[in-house]
Amino acid sequence: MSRHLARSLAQLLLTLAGVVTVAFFLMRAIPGDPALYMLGDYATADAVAVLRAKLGLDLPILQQYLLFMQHALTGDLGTSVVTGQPAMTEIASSVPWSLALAVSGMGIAIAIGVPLGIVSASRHGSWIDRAVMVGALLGISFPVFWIGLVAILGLAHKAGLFPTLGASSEPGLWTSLHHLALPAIVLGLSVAAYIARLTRSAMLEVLGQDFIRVARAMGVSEHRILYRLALRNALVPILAVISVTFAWSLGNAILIEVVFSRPGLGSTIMKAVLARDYQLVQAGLLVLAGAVVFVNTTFNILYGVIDPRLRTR
Amino acid sequence: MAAEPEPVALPAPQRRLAPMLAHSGLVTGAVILVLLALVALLAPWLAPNSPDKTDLMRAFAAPSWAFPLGTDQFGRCLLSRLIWGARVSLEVAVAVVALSLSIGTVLGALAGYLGGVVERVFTGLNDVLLAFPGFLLALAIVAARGSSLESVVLAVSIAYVPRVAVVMRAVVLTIKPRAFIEASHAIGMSDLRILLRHVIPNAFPPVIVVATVSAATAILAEAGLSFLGLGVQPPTATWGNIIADGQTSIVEHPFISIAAGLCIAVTVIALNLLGDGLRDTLDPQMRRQTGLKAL
Amino acid sequence: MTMSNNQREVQAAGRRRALQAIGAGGALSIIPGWVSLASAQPLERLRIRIGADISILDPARIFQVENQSVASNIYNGLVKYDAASNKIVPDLAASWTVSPDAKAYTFKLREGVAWHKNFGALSSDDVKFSFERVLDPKTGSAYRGQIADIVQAIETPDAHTVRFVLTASNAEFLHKVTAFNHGWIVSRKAVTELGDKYNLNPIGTGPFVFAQWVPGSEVRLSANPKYFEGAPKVQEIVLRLIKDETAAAIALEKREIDVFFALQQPEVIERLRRTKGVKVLERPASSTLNLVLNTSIKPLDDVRVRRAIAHAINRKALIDGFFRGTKFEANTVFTSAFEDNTDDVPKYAYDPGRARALLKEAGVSNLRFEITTVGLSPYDKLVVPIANDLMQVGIQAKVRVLERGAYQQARSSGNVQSCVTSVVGPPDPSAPLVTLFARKSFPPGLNSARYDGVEDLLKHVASELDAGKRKELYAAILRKTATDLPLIPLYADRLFMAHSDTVQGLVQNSMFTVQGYPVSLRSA
Repeated sequence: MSRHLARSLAQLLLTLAGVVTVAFFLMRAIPGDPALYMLGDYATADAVAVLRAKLGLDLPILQQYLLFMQHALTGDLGTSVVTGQPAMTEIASSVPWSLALAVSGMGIAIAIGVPLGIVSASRHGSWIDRAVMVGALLGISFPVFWIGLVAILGLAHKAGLFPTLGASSEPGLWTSLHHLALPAIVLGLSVAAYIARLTRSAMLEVLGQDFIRVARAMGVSEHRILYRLALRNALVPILAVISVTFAWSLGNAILIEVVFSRPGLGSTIMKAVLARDYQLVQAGLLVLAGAVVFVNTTFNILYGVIDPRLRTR
Repeated sequence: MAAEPEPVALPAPQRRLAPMLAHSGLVTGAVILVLLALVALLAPWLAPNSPDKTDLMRAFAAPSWAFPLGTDQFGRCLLSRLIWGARVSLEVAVAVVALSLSIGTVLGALAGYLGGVVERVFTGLNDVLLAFPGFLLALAIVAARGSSLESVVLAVSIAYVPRVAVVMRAVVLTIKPRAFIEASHAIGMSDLRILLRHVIPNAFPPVIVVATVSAATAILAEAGLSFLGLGVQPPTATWGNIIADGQTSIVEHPFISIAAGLCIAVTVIALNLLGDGLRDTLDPQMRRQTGLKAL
Repeated sequence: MTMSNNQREVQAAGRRRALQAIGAGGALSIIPGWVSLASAQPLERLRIRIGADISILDPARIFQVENQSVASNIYNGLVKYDAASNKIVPDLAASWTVSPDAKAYTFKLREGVAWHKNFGALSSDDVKFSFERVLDPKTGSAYRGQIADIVQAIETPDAHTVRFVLTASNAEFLHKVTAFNHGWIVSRKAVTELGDKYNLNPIGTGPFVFAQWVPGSEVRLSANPKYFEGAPKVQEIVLRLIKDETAAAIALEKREIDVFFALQQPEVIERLRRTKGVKVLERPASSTLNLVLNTSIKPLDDVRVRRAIAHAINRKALIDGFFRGTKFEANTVFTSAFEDNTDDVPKYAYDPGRARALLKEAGVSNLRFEITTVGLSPYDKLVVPIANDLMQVGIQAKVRVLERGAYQQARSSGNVQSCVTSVVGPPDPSAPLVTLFARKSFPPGLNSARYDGVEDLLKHVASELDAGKRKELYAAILRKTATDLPLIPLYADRLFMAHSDTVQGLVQNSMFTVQGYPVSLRSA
């Protein structure tokens, strides 16, 4: 077990290093001069030279890379060109907002998607199965920002059930939750559709295996088959589904933040992209990718805990 | 999570077609897509008006014979814009599929066939790339390159290449231990010919499935990026742009954004129906081995 | 004289209230924006909606109405415009004298004015510092052109006197030292000490102190109890960023905000006019929105091409159709807010046929034309029908939307073919004229057209002491610029603001800023 843990952590570090590397080269894959890009096509030559020196762009690329790694380790992800504040500060202040949305959204998604997927698989071919599949198909086919717009239109503007903005700086826990509700529900439902489909698939896999058929032939009750045998074996694939979905949901979360005018990492990155604030974009990317890697690793460790066969040797 | 690949005899191509035609979902999806492709290709003749011509005094006009779906905030014909938007979506989908498939299949096949260090590097790189949420990666690339159709295509393709490559590699790993490859080796066929003769036809079904998913993602990603203002720039009509334009007046004139959203949904539903149908009619064992879950 | 018991009590109560206000102000700077102690008393908080986030609060470089609104609550100038009447009244200067030849203006500053956050007392040196940094080319102030050739020297005979010695007689110099943009006075100590950080940590003498900025969300200003005109009636101003106007309207209806600033969209204006408990204020602005044509880029140097563009654009449809009548027609850069406006200028009616003829005459075909605009509503949208109008007469028009910072850059470079510019500000007639048409305002200033056809007239009008003759000179300038057409006025702006009926005392000015000082909140 400890070997599994050690290998998982090693993989985490390696992947993180890879993520930092990719982020580094991605932002330097810009055709042309990054400093010019940040200051705009019309900057004066002097201003560009000053910024180049400040960003260390005249150093050899390897040295730049090492410096970048070094800074990343200490949490210094550069300075925002627009506000002059360290990028980490801006990101740190947006993380709580995004975290609230991500946790509540994923919570709703798992609570709805997993049971629906399981029920659908266990009643394969029935009207429940068809209904869930149609619903899930619609959920993954409508753009999530469109669903958000329609939700705001119907439930906030017309029905007045929810506030039209995704956040409020008025104090109070109830106010915050009330503003979080609609964005979280929209995010949750769209991700639930995805989870339901994948869970159903995973369950069908498990239910189609030989040992299930044997149990059925031996006369074990359907109830026991489902809950004692199938689910236990499906646990790891379902966890894998959740892990994969988490990464995908972060992309949706950005769109939700923008549609609902909600502060958060997504809005910060968007603002940075529009303002060509390259260091802030890079920092935001790193934090998000890092979060994904972290979640994936946690799940990897979990697989090892649940199913000894999956421990990496 | 790769299962142990077992040698499997594949059904002949004819035996695969019949179940496909009988699958209602698959057929529905295919028909819708063909219709959409026709609409997109025939846009210049089908659209009743120019999608770009503004007429401010005619803004938000109700549907009429001249403007079957009414007009937007600039007085432009909504139906014409939706039709031309289909063209852009089609372009994006085709370009992304072509690009990600051509690069992804080659990379995946090489990794699977050559094995060893190449495969290790491939897996490591994949893990890293897959750690970036697809949409975010696309966002970053568009941010770096500037917003345009080419940037969107490039960005989504790059995000999808790893996913295609993974499937391809799994296919190659399934095929590798086949007896007839060893037999081919005995006769003296070169590696390349082996690849071309055996791997490609067998790779076709799972790769097509991934292709439909990547096309669906491409359309949704273009819509998302355009909505954020980072995709194809206005005034070009794309479904994402139309939703974005309609956002400011959504309370008084919701139809504009709703209509564009429905267009996207219908297209993506069709693609998903096609993908699901293909997956269902695919040989189940092949499906398990390539790790193709409902994506 | 001894005080009666009553008077002592009143004084004590006043002191208590002052202490309360100071305490609240102090506490506010510690409490983060979105958390509030449950046990704290509900603050008298004025919540104002802004449509874009703030970015720069340094008067020398300030740009954009949101920044200017925050600044107008924090800073003072030597003089200011009365919000309602636009008459020039004292601000930091208690009184002033003008030399008979109007070449020297001497201001006597109020005594006992203190800078925020303990940066000392206001002195004439701060005034000198403020204007000299605007004049210094190294500061890169876009407003340098406003005062560069006018001010010869700034003298500070004592700590409360400032004298401006001008290069020539100027009857309108007071306009240049009003509380707006470069006229806002800053503290030498604060600017020098804070350096780069000053931009988002402004120090002023005004009724409100800059407390906190939550990027992308809101700005908090706390009341300055020591303000020289008396403490404000509200304890805090919160400027909340709500981009979407419909969402802001709903927030206003639900009393989540008190004032809706920068109301633009016609549908939202109509909606709020129908809402009970909400009052919509409107007033003609002192600015027009102009399409500036770069006369240094061929073939825009040919006046026939510029006139063709003017004839091609259907400005009436823009005003009636796109803006649903919430803007006014404009033929010059002056609006009805200016006494010196005249309509006796060449006009360019919508006439695509004439446009095509002029282009043919100039020998131009398939002109590739790009309009650069800023990504803020409505400037990113209104250029779409304009580009389309140009396409109808054979001009290959494209639109390029840039984010605010990038847009400023592009415009300052002086290399864009065409951009949209509005000189928002006080009803100072020389302001839009100098900013848009003077040689000293060439890029990086706002004269992106690189036009210098009225230099002599501008010089004459500045030194003309007779009001009647000045009016004639202004008319002549307006006529010449309308003939040469370095820019096309698209519409005269109208300012809309809405507030709930709990807000009392709010006066809408013509400068596109919102000021919280006279406002008090009545309980709903």
